[in-house]
Amino acid sequence: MAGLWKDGIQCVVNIGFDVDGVSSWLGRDGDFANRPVATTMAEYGPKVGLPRILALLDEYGIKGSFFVPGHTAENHPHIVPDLLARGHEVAHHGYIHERPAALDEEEERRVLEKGLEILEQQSGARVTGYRSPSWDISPKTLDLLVEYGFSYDSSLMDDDAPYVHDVGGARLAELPVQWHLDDFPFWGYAPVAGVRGPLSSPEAVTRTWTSEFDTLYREGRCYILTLHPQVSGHTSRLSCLERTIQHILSHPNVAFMRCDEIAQYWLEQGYP
Amino acid sequence: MAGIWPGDIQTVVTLGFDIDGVSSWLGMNPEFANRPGLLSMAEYGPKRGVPRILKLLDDYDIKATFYIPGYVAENYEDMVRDLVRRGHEVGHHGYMHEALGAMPLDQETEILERGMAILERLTGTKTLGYRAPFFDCSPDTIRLLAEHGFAYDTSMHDSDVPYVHDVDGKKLVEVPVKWVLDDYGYFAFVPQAGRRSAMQDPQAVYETYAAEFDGAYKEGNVMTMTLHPQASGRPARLTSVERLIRYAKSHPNVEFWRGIDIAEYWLSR
Repeated sequence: MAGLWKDGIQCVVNIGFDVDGVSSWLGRDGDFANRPVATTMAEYGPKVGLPRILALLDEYGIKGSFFVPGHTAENHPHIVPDLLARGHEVAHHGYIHERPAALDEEEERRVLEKGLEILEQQSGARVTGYRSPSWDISPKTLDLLVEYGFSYDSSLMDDDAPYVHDVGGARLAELPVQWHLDDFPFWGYAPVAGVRGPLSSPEAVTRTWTSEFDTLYREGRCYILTLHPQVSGHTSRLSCLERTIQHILSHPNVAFMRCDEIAQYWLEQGYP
Repeated sequence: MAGIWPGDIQTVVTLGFDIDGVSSWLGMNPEFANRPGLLSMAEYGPKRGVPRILKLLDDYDIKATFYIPGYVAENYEDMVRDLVRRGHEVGHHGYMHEALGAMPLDQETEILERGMAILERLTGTKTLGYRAPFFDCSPDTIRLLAEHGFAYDTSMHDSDVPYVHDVDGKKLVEVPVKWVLDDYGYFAFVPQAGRRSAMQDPQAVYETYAAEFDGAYKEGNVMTMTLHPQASGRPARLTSVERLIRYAKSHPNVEFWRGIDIAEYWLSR
C-alpha cells in the first residue's frame, strides 16, 4: 500500500528519549529531593541508562532525538554536548518537567525561555524541537512555540503521521505520539509518588511495539517511539528496544530520522 | 574484559527476602489490626511462604539474606534462629516496616537501634546489612548506618554494580536494588489498602527476571532480587524464582551470594 512518503520511503521511524532524570519527580513534588528512593531511581536514567542506550544506538547506526529538561542539562552538563557529538538531536522538554497545562502564560514563557537558554548555552545553537512534559500542553503552547521559533511540536495524539498546524499563518509541524508507544505506562513504578504501572513483561511490550510498527509500515505512516532512560535503560527493557529495532530493520525502505529532520522534510519538501 | 568480581565470576546474584508479615500493613495503618482478612494474607508469608522458600533454597544449595522487621522477628523467634542455623543472613528492615523518608532523625535512630537489639538478641551476632522498608531512606539513613557499624545498605536504585558510600572516612557498601527485580509490584493485591497490581502471571515475571539476568550476565553486574514471602511464597509464583535460579545456574561462572558476602568482598577489593 502506497503511503505518505516520497523517495521510495515506506515508513519513517523516530526513536526519542525524554532524559528526565529527577526533574519529572521534583516537578511533581519538591520534597522528593529528600527521598533517595525517588532520586536514585530517577538518576539511574542519566547515570546508567543513557550510556547503555547510546551504545545501542551507535551499534545500529541510529540517530535519535533527546528531549532534555533544562534541570537535567544543568545537573549533567556533559550530556548535551555528548549527544550532539554523536549526531543525535537535542530538543526542549521544559525546565523541571513542568506540565504547560498547569502554568499561566507568563510561567509558560519563562519555562520556555529558561530551557532554550540552557540548551543554547550548552549546544551552541538554538533548538527547534519541543515535546511537552507529560504531553500536557496548554491552549497557548502552539502559539508560543511559533513565537519562539520552534519548527515542531511532538505532544499531540490525533494522528499517526506528521501534520502541520496553521498558527496565525505560521506553520508548525506536529509529530504525533501515542501512550502505547511510550515505555512509562508499562513500566513506570514509583510507589512514593503513587505510580504503579502494570510492570508488563518484555515480551508483551515488544509485541505491542512491533505489531504497531507492522500496521504503520503497511499503511506507510510514521512510527515515533518515546522512551525514558530511567525506565527503558534497565537491560531487560532495553532488550525490547533492540528487538523492535531489529524487527524494523528487517523491513525494506524504512528511514530512521531525527524529529527535526522529519519536521524539515514535512515543512520544506512539499509534504501536505 | 576484567570484571568486578573475583576470579572467573561473571555475575553475582543475591536473593533477598523481606519477611514483612503484618508489619508493613500495621505500620501503614494501625487500624488494619482490626482487619483479620488483610492480616491473614500477610501472615501467609512467615507462616507458609518462608518454609517453602527455605526448601527451595536448600534444593539449590543457595544461601540468601532475609531482611526482617523487628516486630516480625519478635513474633517468629524460632524462624529467625532457624534461618541463622541454615547459614542464611539476617538483615535489618525497620521495626514496623516504617517509611523513613519523612521521619524525624531521633525517631529514625530509635527505630534503627530497636531493630538492631532484637536481631542481635536472636541471631547472637551484630547485624551488618540493612534494607530500608519501601526502599524509602531519609537523607540521614546512610550516615546513621555507618555510625552504627553496618557494613552495607541495599536500598538505592542508581547503579547496577555495588559501590561505596564514604561517610567521614567510614565505608558503607551499597548493594543496589531496582523495582523491576522486586516481586511486589507484579503481585500485590490488597484491596483493603487500595493495592491492586496487575497480578502478572508467573511466566511473564520470570521472563522479566530472565531478561534482567541476561543483561547482568553480559555486563558482569550484580543482580539484587527483592522478594516477599507473602507475595512470591505462593506455589505458582515461587516458580518464577525457581526458574530464575535454574536459568542463572545454567550459565557458567554465576554465584549466589548473601548481601554480606558482596559487602565483605567489595570492602576487601
